[in-house]
Amino acid sequence: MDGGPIIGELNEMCSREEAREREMTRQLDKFEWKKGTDPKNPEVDLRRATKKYQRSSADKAYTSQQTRSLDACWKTMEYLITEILDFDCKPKAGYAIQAVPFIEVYSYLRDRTRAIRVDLHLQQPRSTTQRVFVETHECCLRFEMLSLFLLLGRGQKQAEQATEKYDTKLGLKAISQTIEPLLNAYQAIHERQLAKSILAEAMGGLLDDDQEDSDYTSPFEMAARRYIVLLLMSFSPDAVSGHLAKMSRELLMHPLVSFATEVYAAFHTEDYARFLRMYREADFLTSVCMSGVADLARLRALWLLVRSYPQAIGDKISLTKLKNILAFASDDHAKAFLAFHGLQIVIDKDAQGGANIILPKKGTPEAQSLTLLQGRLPEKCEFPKGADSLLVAKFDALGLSRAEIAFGSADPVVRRGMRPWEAVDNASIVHLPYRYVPLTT
Amino acid sequence: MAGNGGFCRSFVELCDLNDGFELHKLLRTTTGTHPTEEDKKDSCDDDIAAAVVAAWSAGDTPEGLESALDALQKWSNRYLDRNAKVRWMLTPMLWLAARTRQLAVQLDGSDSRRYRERVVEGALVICCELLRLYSSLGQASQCAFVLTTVGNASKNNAFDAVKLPKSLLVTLYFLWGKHLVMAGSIEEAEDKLNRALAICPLKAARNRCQILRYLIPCRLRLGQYPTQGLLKRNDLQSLTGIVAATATGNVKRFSEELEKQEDTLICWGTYLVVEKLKIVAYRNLVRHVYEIQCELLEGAQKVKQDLAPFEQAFQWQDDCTPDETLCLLAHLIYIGAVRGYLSDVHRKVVFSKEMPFPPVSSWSTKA
Repeated sequence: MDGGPIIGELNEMCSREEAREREMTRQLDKFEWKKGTDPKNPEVDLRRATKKYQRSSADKAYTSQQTRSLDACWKTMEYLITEILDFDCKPKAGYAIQAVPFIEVYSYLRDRTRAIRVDLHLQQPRSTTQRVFVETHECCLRFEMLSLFLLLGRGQKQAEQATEKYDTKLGLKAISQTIEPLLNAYQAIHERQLAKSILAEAMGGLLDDDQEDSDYTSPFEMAARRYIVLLLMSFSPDAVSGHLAKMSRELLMHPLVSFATEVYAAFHTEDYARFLRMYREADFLTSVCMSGVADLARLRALWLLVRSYPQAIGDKISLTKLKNILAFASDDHAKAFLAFHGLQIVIDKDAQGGANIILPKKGTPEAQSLTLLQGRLPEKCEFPKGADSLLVAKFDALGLSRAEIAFGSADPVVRRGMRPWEAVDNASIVHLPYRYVPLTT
Repeated sequence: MAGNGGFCRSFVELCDLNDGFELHKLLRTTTGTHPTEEDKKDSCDDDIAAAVVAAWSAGDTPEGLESALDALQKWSNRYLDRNAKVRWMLTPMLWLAARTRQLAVQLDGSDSRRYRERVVEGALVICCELLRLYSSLGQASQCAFVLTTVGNASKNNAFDAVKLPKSLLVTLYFLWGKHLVMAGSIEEAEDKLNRALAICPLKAARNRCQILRYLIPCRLRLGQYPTQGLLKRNDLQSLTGIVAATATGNVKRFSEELEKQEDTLICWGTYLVVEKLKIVAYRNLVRHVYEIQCELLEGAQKVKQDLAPFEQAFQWQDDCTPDETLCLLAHLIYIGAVRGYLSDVHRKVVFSKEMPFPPVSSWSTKA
């Protein structure tokens, strides 16, 4: 090693040497097998092989030859997201396997996307401000968020058939490993642009044209920052204050980011109705980020409501009203949640939603057994994790493929008229150019 | 005891051979023994060997601990500076680290009150720096351990706060109070910050301003409103709008002021604390609506009021839907800011006949 920075020279998704080695040591993944191969002794399909993640160690030396170029990194990312991400519901011809549960798709993609990030990190600081670096990390973040939704809710049936189980902690770890370099990249780009603007001013506005090609400002930065704040709120609340304190005024004031701050404030000042309203009205990915604490917010809102009714005489509340307050998209989900927490649901065709939730009279057996009337404000919600009807409804309403979501088509944008100096309409956001050409079978 | 030649020579030889195992054995010979004259006379070019010999000579004393720490730190630095072949250094490191810990435990257990008194001020300085460090690292949960230790030490009379330097006390109480503010323990925070402010000299304007940044929101949460003069004297006019909005129940103005001050409050770390004042503003808004309705209604209707005026007020002030209004009223009832109950089927809010709006200080800690 000459000690200088690595510049990736590998222009393939995986080097032949690695592919052959993994073929010999049977470390190929199913998605890399040649079609028709013997599963007991699989052969590699070199067109579909992607570099595997390898843990760093004290005696491991990284070389330029083994490291993918920036273009190869993005090519791999495009391939994985376009070909593999929806393989469980849209298997492609030309692969050795066809029926695969999403957990196995996720497991493969988590490993291979981590390998891409490693290749990009090895080429820092040169790679940090490049478009590929930022786009790859944004894509990885969306992929992990989408997987959080697909595996904790949608994949119930498949999960029973799969040999692996989704570990939320691993998913969150992947998210944290993606967030940090992404934020650093945003910071580096801003600092570079600031330096360039100062230099340009000093030079009377004249700049080297070549420099401008490498400038890249992500149109998805604010959306990503929103996700990050909300993910921290849901899964690492202690870190939110410190994270917000590091953000500049411009960032905090941006509507996409200030939304996240308002959500955080609503949850932590116990304004659960406001939190749930925002959860209900937010876009799909934003809601996914909030979903970590959504059930707890629902439970606490319910708990507060139940505590305030006239216990001496009892009361009732319509299913529709509670369904709306607690941000459920389906009656079944609402009923399951309410029944789980001990509330009685009585059919009443005159009531809104066709049913009322009974708030029992003090002294009755129902009141005595209702846990919502006992103890303190709940610290956690035991309702089994499953499909959140609201998220499912949002996902279905999107009408986008998983790849489109991963590439940013579902990201929230600032609508014209929100704040004059921030107005950016959808048309001006350049969505990812699909350079990827599908493999022929 | 060393092999042929003194300890230092043996130490250097074993280091050159990268023989961690033998080096560990050599170090172990220093436990429970005293260095020979040869060991002491042996010239030490190696600073780590010299530190080990110094610790060996000093025995189980504070000076011995200092030397042992020195040896450990230097060994660690050497380990980090080497680029290759460092595994052999781990075994001696185990001994050096263990020895230091054992000495520290031993000295800590010895009856040396004078020693404790002498070092307690330094320990509190370190505690303050730790609190600042954890705060800047976003690891507020770690501060609790430090503060628990300080609190226990104070209860056990390990130190007398009156005898401590004022600058140290102000810093300690301020950081303690700040942590309690973040943790939501408003009454305790107010106590600590009050102490910090009481001790802080009047001419230390910047420090007083910093203390008040946290103290004023605490006092507001307890229903104590600062004067305009106080805010002006301490360069805190930015809080004027929030104070006025909270007191008058003007939720709309509160939200506007909060948005204006958002980045400042986030920078100070008091955003959540100030945001929680909104519930006080809501409570005052509800009280205004209640009083207006009382003037229009008669008899029992005064306490059994319709939900509609409250829904309209909340919608006007904070763009709340009727469902959000219901939840906010439920929250106010739960924390004791409003005494009464809600009936959704009858669309009524029933207020208690006696003190429907208890003083803020009686319920603010629950908010």
